[in-house]
Amino acid sequence: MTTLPLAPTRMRIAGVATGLPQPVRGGTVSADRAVTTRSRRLSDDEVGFDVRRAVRAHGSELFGFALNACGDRALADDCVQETFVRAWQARRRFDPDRGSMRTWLFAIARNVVIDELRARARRPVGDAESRLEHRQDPVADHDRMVAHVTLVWALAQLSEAHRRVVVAVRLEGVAYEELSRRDGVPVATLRTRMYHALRRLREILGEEA
Amino acid sequence: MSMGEDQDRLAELLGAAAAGDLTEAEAAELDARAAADPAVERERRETLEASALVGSSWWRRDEPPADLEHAVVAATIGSRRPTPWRSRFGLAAAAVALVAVGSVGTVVVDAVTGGPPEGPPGTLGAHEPVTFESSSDGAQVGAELVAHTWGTEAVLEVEGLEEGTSYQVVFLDEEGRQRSAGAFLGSAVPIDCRVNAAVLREDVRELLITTADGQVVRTADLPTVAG
Repeated sequence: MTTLPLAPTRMRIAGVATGLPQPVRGGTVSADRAVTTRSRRLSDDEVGFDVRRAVRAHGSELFGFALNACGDRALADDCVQETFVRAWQARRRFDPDRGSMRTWLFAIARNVVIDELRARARRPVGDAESRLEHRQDPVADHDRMVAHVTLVWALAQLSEAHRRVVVAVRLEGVAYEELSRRDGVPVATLRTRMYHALRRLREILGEEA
Repeated sequence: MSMGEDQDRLAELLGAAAAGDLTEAEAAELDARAAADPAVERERRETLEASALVGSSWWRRDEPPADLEHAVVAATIGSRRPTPWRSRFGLAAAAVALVAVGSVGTVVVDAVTGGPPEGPPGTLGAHEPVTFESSSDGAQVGAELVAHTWGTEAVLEVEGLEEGTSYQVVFLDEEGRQRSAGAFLGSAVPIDCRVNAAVLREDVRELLITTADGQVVRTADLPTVAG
């Protein structure tokens, strides 16, 4: 009997659904942001959130997520900045016992990106005819958007080595042999990385479900 | 083969299966293991599902803007200190506020340079000072607008409005339609507040702060966005 290294996860793939909680369709995005008072502010050291350190440690990978979720560099930049602003405003609620800073920031970033893409989707595009052409099924559009954002969000959280093999082999169609020559990594290792990358992807999506 | 080697081999086979890279012999090997162990079969199924899901996506690698850290710092801890955008806000608004309100307790003036983009009203990411009409209520209210691709943000500094009272922040468009940007509560201490509305800066003509029953507390005409 083979002992598998990890327990099964709960990811579902049904159409565009991923088993993740779906934002309320047709609902409004809260326009309120945090209101903070100076008298309640603690130092960053006291709350364990160093903005500069957080940006240096996670800014690049959060930008990678936002860029691939939005497909727009300027919008991705906006999203990443907004992510850190929201994190800073909510820094007293960050509990390292419940998860890492990285996980917390990615959770915020996912919400920010979905909010931004929803807002953008509500903007009128062109004339009525072209709007009808592009928005024949807003609910399906919304679901596809959320599914895409969530998948890219999970990809962004993979380690660089794991994401590289997934992107090269599954998204760019590079054969293991070719990637092995490029990176100087044995094919068997690349295959194993692929398995563990997909395994981790399932875990991330399963944890979110 | 040790248990560890056995698991490594299984991982390799599953990774190959995920990319359709199994040889005939490897496919037979994996089939045999899956037939003998439902857990392996389940693992193969879930691996292939994940692989198929990933295949519907894309990934482009690019570096973040060089000024990301600076922009984030300015928008966060910079708001407690003299910061680039607040410097411009302070310098531009201080003179107006001194006349309009009588004091500028919450406006920080500093000469730090750099920061977010600059430009005329409507420039994405730029901080646009807002000039409220004068009021005799003694409260100090400062504001800036930030144009985004997804709407318009109002960055408020408020001191002296009635504690516990709910204040609405509203944009009016050219036709006088109200676009709510959110609300805040008056506080006994100075507050920093960021609210936003799903209306583009180019469509906004006026910024209002009102009480819940509609009484206007502050109003500011906003310049038309060029072009």
